[in-house]
Parts: sequence; C-alpha cells; structure tokens
Amino acid sequence: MHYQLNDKSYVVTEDADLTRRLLDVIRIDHGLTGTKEGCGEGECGACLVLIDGQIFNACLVPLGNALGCTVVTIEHFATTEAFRRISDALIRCGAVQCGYCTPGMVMAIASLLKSDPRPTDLAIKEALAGNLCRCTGYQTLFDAVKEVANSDSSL
Amino acid sequence: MTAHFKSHRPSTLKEALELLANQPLTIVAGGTDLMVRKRQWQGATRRFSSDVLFVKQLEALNHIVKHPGYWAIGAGVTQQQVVDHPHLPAYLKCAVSQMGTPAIRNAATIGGNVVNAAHVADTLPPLIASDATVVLQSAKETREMPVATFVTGKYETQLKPNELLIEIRVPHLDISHFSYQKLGNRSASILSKLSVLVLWERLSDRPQAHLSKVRIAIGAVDDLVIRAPHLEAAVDAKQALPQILEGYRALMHSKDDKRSTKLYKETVAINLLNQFLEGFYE
Repeated sequence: MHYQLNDKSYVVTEDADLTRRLLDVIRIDHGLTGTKEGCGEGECGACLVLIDGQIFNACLVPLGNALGCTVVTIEHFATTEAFRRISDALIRCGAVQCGYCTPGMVMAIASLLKSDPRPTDLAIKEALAGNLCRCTGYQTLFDAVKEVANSDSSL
Repeated sequence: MTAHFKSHRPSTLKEALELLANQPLTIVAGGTDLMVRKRQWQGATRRFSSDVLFVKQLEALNHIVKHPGYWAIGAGVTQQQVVDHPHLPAYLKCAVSQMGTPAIRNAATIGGNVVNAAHVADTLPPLIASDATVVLQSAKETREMPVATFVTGKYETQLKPNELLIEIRVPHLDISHFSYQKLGNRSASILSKLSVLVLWERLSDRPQAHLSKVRIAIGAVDDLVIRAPHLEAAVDAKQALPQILEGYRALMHSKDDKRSTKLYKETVAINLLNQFLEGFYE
C-alpha cells in the first residue's frame, strides 16, 4: 500500500490506521502546513488538495481513500506556471488579505480553469461555492479568476 | 486515548463480503458524512466504534450501465460522476448537482447518501419518485428492494450487518419533464430545509398544458420522503387541487430542527406544490 504525495511515493504499513484524515497526514507526518484546517467538516475549503487531478477536502478524506492516488498540495502546485498566473492575478486584484483561505482557493481556481478555461460568472461562483473567505467579499476573487480566464493562453 | 480499530481495505467485492460475514464493520465509502460524524479534535483519530471497511476502491461498485429496463448505478459512484454522466436522467442529475460543493461531490458517493439515510439526503426524492431499487449483497445472498422500503427512518435502513449496498437501479421512466425546488439557507453547499420534486409527462395531443404520469416526492420535511400515488393520480383534475393539497398536508409530520421549523417546512412545501399545480391549470 502506498500513496504519492507531491513528487514522492510513500509506503503505508499493514497496521496503519487508514481512518486518519489525509489533512493530518499532510500537516503532521509531512510537515506541509500550506494546506490549512478551517472548519474540519468540509464546509470551508481551506484544506483543498488535488487527488488525481481533482479537488478534495483533505479533512474528509480518510488515508485509506488516498492509497494508490497522487496527492498534490499547494507546496508542489506552487512550483507550476499555472500557480504563478493565478497567484499574480490574486495579488493584482487584491484578493488576498489574511491568506488563510488562499491555498484552498488557488486549488479550486486551478481546478475550474483546467476543466473550463473560459468560465461564465455563474460557473465561477459555483466552482468557488465550497471556499469561504471572511476578508475579501469574494468579488476580488471572481475578478482574479476572470483576469486569468481572459488572458491569451489557457492554464 | 481512542482505541485504534483495524482498517480493512479489500481489493475485491468478494473479500469485502467475506469480511462483513465474520464481524460487524463500519463501512466507509467517500467519507464525507462519517469523517465528520466521527470527528474529534484536530489531529486526533476519528471516533469509530468498530473495525472499518473501506469500499471506495472496489471496482465492482463503480459502474453506470444502461440496462433494458433501468440504469444500474454502482454504490461507489461519486455524485460528480452522476452529474457528469451524459445520459442519466436529468431530474437525478439536477438534484445531485445541488448537493454539497464541487470538492464534496468528488468524494461523496450515491450509495453513501442512500445508506446514510439522512432525512435531508437529496438523492432520496429522485430515487423514490422514480421507484428506484437498491441491490444488497452478502456473502450468502443478494436481495433487491425499493429505496422507499429500504429506508425505514432517519438514519435507519434495512441493511443487515453482513450486507453491502452494491447498486442502485433507476427505472427508465416515460416522463420528459421535471420540476425540482430545493430550499436552504443559501444556494450552495447547504443541506435542504425541504425539497419538492415533480416528474410528469406532457401529452402533446392536448392544446392546454396537461399533466400525466405525475410523480411527486417531497424531501426533508418528514423523516421519510413523502410520496402518495393516490394523490398523484388525482392531480389531473383542477377541481381536485384543494383536496390534493389537504391530502399532502395530512401526510406531513414534520418536526422543528436546527435548520427550520415544522410550520415553515410544511407550509412552504404545500405552497410550492400549489404554485406548481396552479401554473398547470391556468
């Protein structure tokens, strides 16, 4: 039994507790604290990670459901060109204040623009419906998504 | 310190059923309900009370197949797979697309929603409206029963400890229209206060809009989805409207809860139904 986290593969022993949250494995075992814990019950989206390219709330995923999968956290995603473009747009639009929601928000935006490079306003709202931000009021976040979507090349 | 229960993660359905035959196990599919219900503090293990059986990895539960009489949907199919499927019935996809959030729909399974049997489970109105069935399998036998029979109360089903819900069968209906209205405190990522689903066929040889083959399912008001074929059959006649609404009201036994009150849920469900039916009779 193993799982891939960012660029490395990790073995899970037979007696491991597979009900542990992927979030705890990422933050405690691997010391990767870019993935945040907000609500711990799937409401806020601060803990979003990519599993086989799709967004998941790491607080709801038991380790057992990540086995055989590739997990990408914000630390690894931050090395990509897609991240740089989303990050630049968030900064330009003033879409980051306290920053706690930002890693999860970036994952949700990346996932949206990958499947829908030119999203409608409604599609943007629906895609970010699982990410709470208590600072920005969302409009600047929507603006940042549109800025990336309206640029010449898709993510 | 919480006891550390053993985690089982078999690779085949047969192995999973053998494990279930020998001991009581808590079955975990997508985890979106159980990982919250069994939560403790940050970093702590989940508070399970028995060994755990993971089923999300079972290929035998991950299919969407069209058979002559029905759609077979594997219990491990995620809500997003249902929404993304090009040919599953639109009324089912519509209800599922309004559940949770994109990330939750990627994890949550259709089987999990049914077997969890929350009174606010939004897959239940479409499945009960369409007379869908569940297929339950143990190491010894396989049985099939209507979803409406399977769910016996709030968080209560007829699933035996040695059984696994493996498939949901949605009959092909001769209907082309639906109306689905879900009410919650906000429009996304919200559990229903109530929902009203109406399926019907419009007869094209009549000049006026005309309802036939009507199916009505009212979700989240009571512990069980409300469905009343005798009232559905009476919907055709305009003069029957007051009795129909009275009939539905009499079936409602809602309770005040953290999302809403009995009075609100029952009144609004009746109003939505009235609004819908009046629109047709006009």
